Amino acid sequence: MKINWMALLTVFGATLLTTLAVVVLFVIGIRALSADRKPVAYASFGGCSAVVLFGLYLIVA
Amino acid sequence: MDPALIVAVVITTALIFDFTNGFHDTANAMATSIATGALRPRTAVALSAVLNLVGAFLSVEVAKTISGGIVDDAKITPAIIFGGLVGAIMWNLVTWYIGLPSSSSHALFGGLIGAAWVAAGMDSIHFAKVFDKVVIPAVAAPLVAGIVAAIATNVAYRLKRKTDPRVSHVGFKVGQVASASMVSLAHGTNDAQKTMGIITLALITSGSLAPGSPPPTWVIVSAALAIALGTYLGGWRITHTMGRGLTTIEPAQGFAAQTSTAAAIMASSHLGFALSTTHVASGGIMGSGLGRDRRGVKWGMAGKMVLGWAFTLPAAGIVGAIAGKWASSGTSGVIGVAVVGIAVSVGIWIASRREPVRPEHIVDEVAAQAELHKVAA
Repeated sequence: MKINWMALLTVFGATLLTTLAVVVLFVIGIRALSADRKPVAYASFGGCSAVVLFGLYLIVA
Repeated sequence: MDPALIVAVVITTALIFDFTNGFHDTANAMATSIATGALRPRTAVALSAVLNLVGAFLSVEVAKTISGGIVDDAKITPAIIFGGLVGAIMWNLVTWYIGLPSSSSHALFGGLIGAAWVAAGMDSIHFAKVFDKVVIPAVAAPLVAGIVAAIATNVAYRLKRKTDPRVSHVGFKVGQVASASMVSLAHGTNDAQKTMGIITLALITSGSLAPGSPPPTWVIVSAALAIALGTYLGGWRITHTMGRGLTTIEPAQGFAAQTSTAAAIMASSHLGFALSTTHVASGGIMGSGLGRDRRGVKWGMAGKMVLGWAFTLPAAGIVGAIAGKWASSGTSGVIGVAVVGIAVSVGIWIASRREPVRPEHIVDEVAAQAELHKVAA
């Protein structure tokens, strides 16, 4: 029985990268909102949505 | 029995399984949002149902894993698949009744493998493929989701220290709803696929489709609708265990847990790994509990859950083996399995009516928990 380590590593890497990107951008957005820096907040929330949409695009395409 | 009739019976049973799958798994996506009060239970299940429906159309990789690989389609018959499905449904209903978040997917694989093994022999199962696409992801995916959730939660809590608590509380609740939605979408990309795969397999074994065919459109649509309906009608019993039993969940933590769960499921779906969304969601919640506070996880409860997981494959396998052997003996066997299956289902349903867990009960508990959080903050 062979284990497809490459596939497992891909899943781990993709999960780690997308999750950290989404969570970090989202928290930065909330920090910016608390400090009343609206443009920064909107940019981070926008970046967050872009990561999610890109992930979906990769699955569908 | 008329081949067309038995295929129709398999399709109906598969859709019933899909329904129980949605019913069973509402908790995975929505438990944390309901527990933190970010969403009201009825809104949560409606949102989850729609996203499951959409998710089912996004990918067919997992369906292909099931219809084209784990069992030898030349050796098994629709009657064997029927037996396996009945085994899976029985196990799902029993675990639903006792409130255990076990994996619908493993019930399905257990049932199918048990039925094929006993009725068509050991060589009808491609163990290498089962190992590669089912067993390994079963162990790896919850760990991946757990580790990533722990890291993400830790990072999120470090970064959010300097925020206005009111802004961050509302913000993370919104984030949690968004991430719960992604989990529901991911659920559709993995779990709805399993039923599509089974129906496609039944069509291939009966000769209606060529081996290696992808699921036809009507199969995708009906499987998507069945899982969405099951999700909408909800599994309050399991939401109860998941939302409160494992670890106390704050919105920021729920957000991190769900983001990692959704990412892990979608990455796996894309590679055709047929994993258990239940296990991944539980891994995510536990990991985020650890990331926030090392003493935050109720290990006793977690241990019981893992034990329940380990039982699922063999238990559903044994029921599937008996049902598959009986069903493949001829028309009377298929009818016998159907009658026993319906009788057990009705019995469990009647028993569950005696002590129903309804949405209203959960709302009360959520309100109580929200009070607790306010005091703590």
